[in-house]
Amino acid sequence: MFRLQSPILLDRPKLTVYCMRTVHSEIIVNLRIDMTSSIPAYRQIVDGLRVLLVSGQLKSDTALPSVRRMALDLGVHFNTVAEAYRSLADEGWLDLKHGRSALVIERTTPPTDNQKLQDLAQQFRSLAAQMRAHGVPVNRIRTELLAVAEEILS
Amino acid sequence: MKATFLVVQVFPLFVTAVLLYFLPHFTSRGVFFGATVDRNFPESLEGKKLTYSYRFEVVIWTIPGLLLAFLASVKSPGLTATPIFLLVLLTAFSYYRRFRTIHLRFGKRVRDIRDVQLLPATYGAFSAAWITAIPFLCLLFVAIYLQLRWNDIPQSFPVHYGADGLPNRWAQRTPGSVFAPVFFGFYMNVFMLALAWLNQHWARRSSMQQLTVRCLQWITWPLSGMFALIALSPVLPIPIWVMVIVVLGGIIAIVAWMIWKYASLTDEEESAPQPDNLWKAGSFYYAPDDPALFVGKRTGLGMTMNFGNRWSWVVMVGVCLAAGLPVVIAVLLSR
Repeated sequence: MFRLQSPILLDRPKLTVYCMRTVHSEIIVNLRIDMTSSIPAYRQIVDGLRVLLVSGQLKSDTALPSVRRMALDLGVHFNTVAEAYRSLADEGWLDLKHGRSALVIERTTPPTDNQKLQDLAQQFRSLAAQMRAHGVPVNRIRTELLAVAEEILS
Repeated sequence: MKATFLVVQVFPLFVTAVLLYFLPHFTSRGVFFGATVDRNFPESLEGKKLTYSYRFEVVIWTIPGLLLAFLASVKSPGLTATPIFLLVLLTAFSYYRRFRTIHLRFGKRVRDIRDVQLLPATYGAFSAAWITAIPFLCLLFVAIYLQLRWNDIPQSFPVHYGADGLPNRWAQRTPGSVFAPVFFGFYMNVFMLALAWLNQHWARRSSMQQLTVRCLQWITWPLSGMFALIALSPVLPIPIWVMVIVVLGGIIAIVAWMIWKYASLTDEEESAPQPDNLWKAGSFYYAPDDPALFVGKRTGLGMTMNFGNRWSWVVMVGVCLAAGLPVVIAVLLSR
């Protein structure tokens, strides 16, 4: 029986893009998007899958659901999912071949590019600024960022 | 006359009224009269008041239904379905009024969160081939049996019975009339399995979707049983009540199983309520950007179509045509 996990909002809203839990000693990995969010669905899918890929919850040789299946389950257009898969394939995470499920592949981490690093750091600052603007205390921001880093690295 | 009136007019009306009376109970948690609410709202004073007033109106609407049923039975027996239609229409109005009140005064804003399961990758509900195969095999065996006992089939046999239980239409022994029930059985099985396939492959996955697919697969059992018994009736004396028990008993058992499974779903297994703006009048899912043809019903068991998706309409027209085809064939054969 398919065991779909209903969304349970975690305390940390930025971490609601995915969840992993164990049912009958079987690990179930879900991708979750928020259609009421101002972030486009395409971006949420890419970001959510990347988190799962970086943290190793989606290992190499794992077949992702087909574009049609994922679009049906998320209630988004087929092109949205296809575009998200292509974006991740361009980053080197997925192998897309016609008539076959998207396959997670072993990815060699590219060397750190200074320009890219600056761009990402800028995004980090922007995110921290947003949290401050929403009234999140500095200590809480520090805790959240550390928790995210630890979660990804573990 | 009295017995016919009770069986044909009053009993279906009574069953419909009871179902409508308990309709507010058949709903997802956090949804009340089709509106998203706090989970505890139905048990609150306001919630109970709304339920009681709705139920009172259902009882009131049943009275003109009964009167119309009486008039229909006396004046024009062809109007059998009209009282039920009237009751459903008036109750829909009552239901919609409660939805508006709750949505505007007590509605809860929720985030529209969607999930997709990535791992494990196997989730086959349609893979139970034996559930699908046995009804077809049953009909196939009946066809073979009829062929073997062809000479034992009477030259003329009853094919239709009135409400009094007596045959009122007869058919001659021809391959068309003898094997027609088997053919219709096959046809209905294929129809149900096509619906199950559509629900499996073109609907959003959820526990309710899986239950619906399973039920559509199981429903082929009583249907095949009924058509098998009808087909066998010219050679084996099978009372009408046996057929009724097979069909009604089977369907009731399947629906009861579905309700039991639905009631035993945990909070985690049940899909979270979606925002009201996706549900017109609290009951009709309308999402043009959603490719799903079917989604879990908001107000109870089963699946509903996505009225915003044009392909859902194409499928609906196809389903109506496919469902109407046996009736047309039956009418043509009876002439």
